[in-house]
This record gives sequence, structure tokens and C-alpha cells, in this order.
Amino acid sequence: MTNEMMQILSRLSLAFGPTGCEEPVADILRELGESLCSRVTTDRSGNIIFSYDPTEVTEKTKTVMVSTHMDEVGFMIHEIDDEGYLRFSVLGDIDPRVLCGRNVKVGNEMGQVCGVIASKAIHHQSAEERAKITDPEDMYIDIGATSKEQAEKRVSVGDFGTFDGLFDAFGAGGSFVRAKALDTRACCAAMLDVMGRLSSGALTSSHRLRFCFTVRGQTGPCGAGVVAARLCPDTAVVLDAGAAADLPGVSAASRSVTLSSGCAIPPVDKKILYAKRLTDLASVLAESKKIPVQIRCHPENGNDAAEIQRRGIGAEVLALSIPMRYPRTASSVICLADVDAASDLLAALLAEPTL
Amino acid sequence: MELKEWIQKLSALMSVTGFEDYESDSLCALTEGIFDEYRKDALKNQIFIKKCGRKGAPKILVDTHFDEIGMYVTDIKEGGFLSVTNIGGLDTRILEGADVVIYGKQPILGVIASPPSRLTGEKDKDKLKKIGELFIDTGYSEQALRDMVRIGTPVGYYPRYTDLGERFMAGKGFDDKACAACAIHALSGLRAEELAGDVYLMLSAHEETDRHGGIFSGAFAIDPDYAMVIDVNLGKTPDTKPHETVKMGGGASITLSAATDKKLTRMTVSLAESKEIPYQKCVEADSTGTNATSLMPVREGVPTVDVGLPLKSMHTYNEVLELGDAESLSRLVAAFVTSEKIAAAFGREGEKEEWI
Repeated sequence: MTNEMMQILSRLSLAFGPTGCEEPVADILRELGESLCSRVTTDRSGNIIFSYDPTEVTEKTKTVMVSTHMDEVGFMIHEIDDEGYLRFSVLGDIDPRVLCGRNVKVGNEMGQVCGVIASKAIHHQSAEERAKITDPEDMYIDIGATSKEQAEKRVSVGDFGTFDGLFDAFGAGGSFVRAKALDTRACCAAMLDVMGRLSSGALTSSHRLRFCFTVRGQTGPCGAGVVAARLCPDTAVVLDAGAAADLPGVSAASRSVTLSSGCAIPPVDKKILYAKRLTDLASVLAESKKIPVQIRCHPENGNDAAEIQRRGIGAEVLALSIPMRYPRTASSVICLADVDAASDLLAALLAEPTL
Repeated sequence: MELKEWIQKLSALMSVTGFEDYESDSLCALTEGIFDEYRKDALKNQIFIKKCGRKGAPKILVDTHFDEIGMYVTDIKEGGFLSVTNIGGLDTRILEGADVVIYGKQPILGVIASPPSRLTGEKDKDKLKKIGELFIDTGYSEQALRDMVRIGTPVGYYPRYTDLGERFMAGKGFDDKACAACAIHALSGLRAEELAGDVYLMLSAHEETDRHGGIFSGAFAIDPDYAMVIDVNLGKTPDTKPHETVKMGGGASITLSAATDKKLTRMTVSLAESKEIPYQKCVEADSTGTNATSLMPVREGVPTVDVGLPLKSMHTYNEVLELGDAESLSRLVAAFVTSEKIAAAFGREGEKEEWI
């Protein structure tokens, strides 16, 4: 991965963008994308679409939607108590085990403040409490306010929150990265990289390309579906992240995908059966171009892809998945070479006339 | 240096129990010019001495423990993962997903994790995993790890500091290094002739293992005339009863306990009153839960007062303190070591025996 792309990944990862409050990360994506593509639209839902048309458009020219969601898991403040602590609901599928003690940011698109998720100190917990997972309802966010009035000067009920993670090189030679929100932001970075290749002329495509950065991928009414209904793509390539389980205590058969083994191609996910023609095409291309890939046999949710497949008149859908450890935590881990593989494979696919 | 900066700097040092002197060079560099002497004993108690310049002056012990809770490596696993066990009362609920640093040949960044429950059987879905069931991901190969890490290598929380609003600070190791910061800050502002005696600031070892190991031998060697023990005190949160905690922003706490010296405690309260230092009383009837209880019976008995800094989320990597409380504590330490009244009441007559 180039230094420049690493900088972009870092910026995107650290940006605030929980489901329903994607504006801060969307602003960065628009800024980065506008230097690579002159045709950009933001729809009423907040989805961003960058358009590239081929020099020659015929009736047979296909519309290819390349899509990833930009939102991250987070929180919503539902109560500010008399002592200035914030009670919260969870946005997205966060394991309650990774909440306690975490640094968070709380606020909205206008600005955020720092906080920490706290609960009863270990000294006050009963033996029973120490053995069980603390219910998020028994946790609260401490923002250093001492009264409701003081807290309300800085946050409001309905404000959003995210993990306040750090972005660091990880592992031998810095081949990995540990940060928050990598599931979506690594996909965004890979798409921007391919847009860069189109903009520099290093990549040309005979298709009508639509690069879509969508809202509400973690939960709620999916933004990708809205875009698909509008674009009516013939083909869609959806980027996502898949849980790598090459971990102690997990049998080889259950490991799904592994870090550093390349971009993953799922034939099927919980909500969708992908187009066999496209998964085969991706595998063949990867082999001929020597791009590392692995087949992901353990179904993930596949929410975005399923929405895109069904909306409008329907589309052939392929997913490219970046392996990731510890998804939906403040400290996810990915391998940079896997992101490069996803971006290389996406570029190879878009150059393919038969896509 | 401002008090806030002292707290940030000391908190960032690695001092997991048993490795209290891991960054003693940095500590000595930071405190350069404030003290006359630095000693370290076999247990890794670190003693900073500030002399008053008078012969036969009382020896005043100010104790704050310097060790912080942490982990030790217990196994190096296939694939570059580490198993760990706790040292001190770690809050297991906050471990999964936490960033840590493994202090091997070089510091290594790690993330605490466990296999997803859907892959290990859904039955343990709601169970909190024990520390032995978790592992640390390092991103290194097993062989590379074996070259850098050994069984017993210490692991600490990732040093990170956050301002919460204008008055609150969040970070790791405030228990008890924020108190050490208050004491050093207080002493840095005092001239020798202001001191009521020779001040022995002991950054003691092995407190978090609940054996209060360092205080016995450290205090035995110093043979103080009287002492102040400073440790953090559980701050009020919405899920605690008022009598279990002290108020955040209520000032330094002074402990009323059968286990500490009644007279010295009363004099410390009067001192805070007369100097208008914000303080709050806190009752710990039979034991302070701090080094004070262990220090009282050292040698022929050391008159001890126990004071505290209110702290929320104790034993996590985001312990929270209020800056005003820390300022009060720092002022209280300064008042204590300069109090001629207390020195007159508790200083022993004649030449002191020198044991170290």
C-alpha cells in the first residue's frame, strides 16, 4: 500500500460517521473523490455517487455499480441523567463485551466531545456481577460533566457516538493496521484507489461506472438499496469486510478467511446467493493476474448486497471481502496487502468487457 | 511543571506490579533538581529524599504506591498470540477489545480478543470470558514473538490520555501515580527551609497484589517519625451508595479509621481547615484498604494519616479524576510536610538511627 493510501485510510478510519450521522466521513469522501472524478451526486439519503462514463456509449453499455457503505457502528444517547452521565443505545451489532471502558466520541455532524464508557468499579461489584457480561443498560458515558445542565451544554438526547479508536501500524514490519471502523473505511479506501487509477488513465473501462458510498449499512433502512433503485445497475460489485477467524480456539474448519491470504470472494451470504458467473470471473482474473484471493465459505450478513440484488429491476451481484479480525470493535485488525488485493481485483474486474 | 502535566507524564510510564522501576531513568530525569537523593531497594520501592537541612529533624514519610495493575504473559501460542494472567485486581469486563503494550525486548502493540462465540458454540454467548480464555493478538509470527517475549513478560494498558470537559482527566494508572504526581508537584514547589523535616517520598512497590508488599520493608528502612499515605479513593458514580464513595470535585479525602492515627488525622483535618484546602472526610472503619493499614504497625508503630484522591472507574484504563481534587491533594501534601505543629507533636527527640 502506498503511503498516500495509508494516509487516506487513517483519515477515513478516524472520521466520525455512525449509522444515521455519516456527514463527517461523507465530507471527507466527497473531498477525496472530487479530485478524482468530476461527476458527483449526493442523494437525499446522503449516499454519494461518483460517475464515470466510457468514451463510447451504446445500447449495450452496462451500468456497473461499485458500492460500499461508509457508516460505522456506534451509539445514540437516549438519556442524560441528573449527574450528567449519558445513557445510550447501541447502533449496529456490537458485542456488549467490547463496550466497557472504551473511549468514545459523542455528538453529531456539527462536532463531538470525548467520553469514556463506564460502569460500576470492580471494587463495588458482587461476585455474580464480576462473572457476567455487563448489560449496556448498566453502562453510561462519562464526559466530565457534573450535572444535567452542564452535560446539556455539550450534548443532547439523540446525539450519536462512536468508538474513539486510534490508528496504528500493527505486527511485524507494520504489515497490519489496528483501528476502528476498518470494515467500511478500508473498502472506501480501496474504491478511492481504483477511482485514482481511472482518473490517471491507468485503468479504462467499457462500462458505465458508478462508485457509491452509501449510508446506513450497519443497521436501519439501507442506503445501498436506495442507490440501486435509482441506478438500476446490470452488475454490482459490493465491497465489504469479512470476519477472519484464524484465531486460537477456532478449529481449522471454522476459520472462514484468514488475514494476509488476499481478498475473499463469498459464493453465498446469509441473505444472498451471488452470481456464479461473476464469482468465477473474479477467480479466473485473480489467478491470471496473480492477485491473492480466498473463497469465503462462512456466510456473513450480506445486507447491502442483498438489497442491491433485489431493488429496481434486479442485478447480478458480486462481493469482494477484506478479511478483518475483531469487527465492530474499537480495535479491528486488517492486513494492508489484503486491501491492495481487493483494489487490484476490483480494477481488473472493471477493465473486463464481460463484467 | 504543571500538576496536570505531572499526572499525564507519570501515568504514561509503565510500572506494572513487579516492574515499578521499568522506567526509573525517565522518572529520575523528570524529577531532576527536586530531590537530594534517590534510592531503590530490593523490592523496587523508589525513595526520593528532600532534606530540610537541619540535624535531628523529623523524618516525614509520604507514601504513594507506584505499581499499576497489569498482566504477565503465560504462554506464546501458534499464530503469534499470547495468553496472559492478571497481576492485581484487573476488571475482566473491560479486557475484550482493549489495546495493550507487551513490554518484551521492544514494546509491541497488542489487542485483547477471544474467538467469536458463534464459532466456539453459542452456549457461552452471554458468559464473561475469564482472563485465561482470552488472548492477545500481536500480528507477529510465533517465532518472532519467541525472540522478543518470554513467559512472565509484563503487559500494560496502552498509555492514552483524554480530557473530559475542562476539569476531568481520563487515563490509565492514575491509581496511584496521579497521587505520586500530586506529591512530587507539591514538593517541587517547596524550598528546603520551608520543610518541617526531611521528607521521604516513597513510591512503593507491590501494592496492587493486595499484599502491600513494598510498604513494610520500605518504611522499616526509613524509620519515619510520622507518615501520610496517599491512595486513590472510589469516587461517586450513579451505581454506588453514597457511603461507599467520595464526591468527585469534593476535594482530597481524609480517612477517619480505627486503623490510622486519630490525632494525626485530626491535625491534618485542622490543617486543611486553616489553609482553606478543599477536603472531605471519608470513613473506613476498620481498614483503609491502603498502605496505611500496613504502615501503622511497622517497627514500634508509625503514626499515619490516610488521604485520598477521588477516582472513578478505578482499575480500568480510563480512570477518571477531577483536576480540582488533585490540586487540593497537592496543596494538602505541601501543608503536611511544612507543618511545624505536626512536626512538634510527632517528631521524636534526638538523633535518628540511620538504617539505610
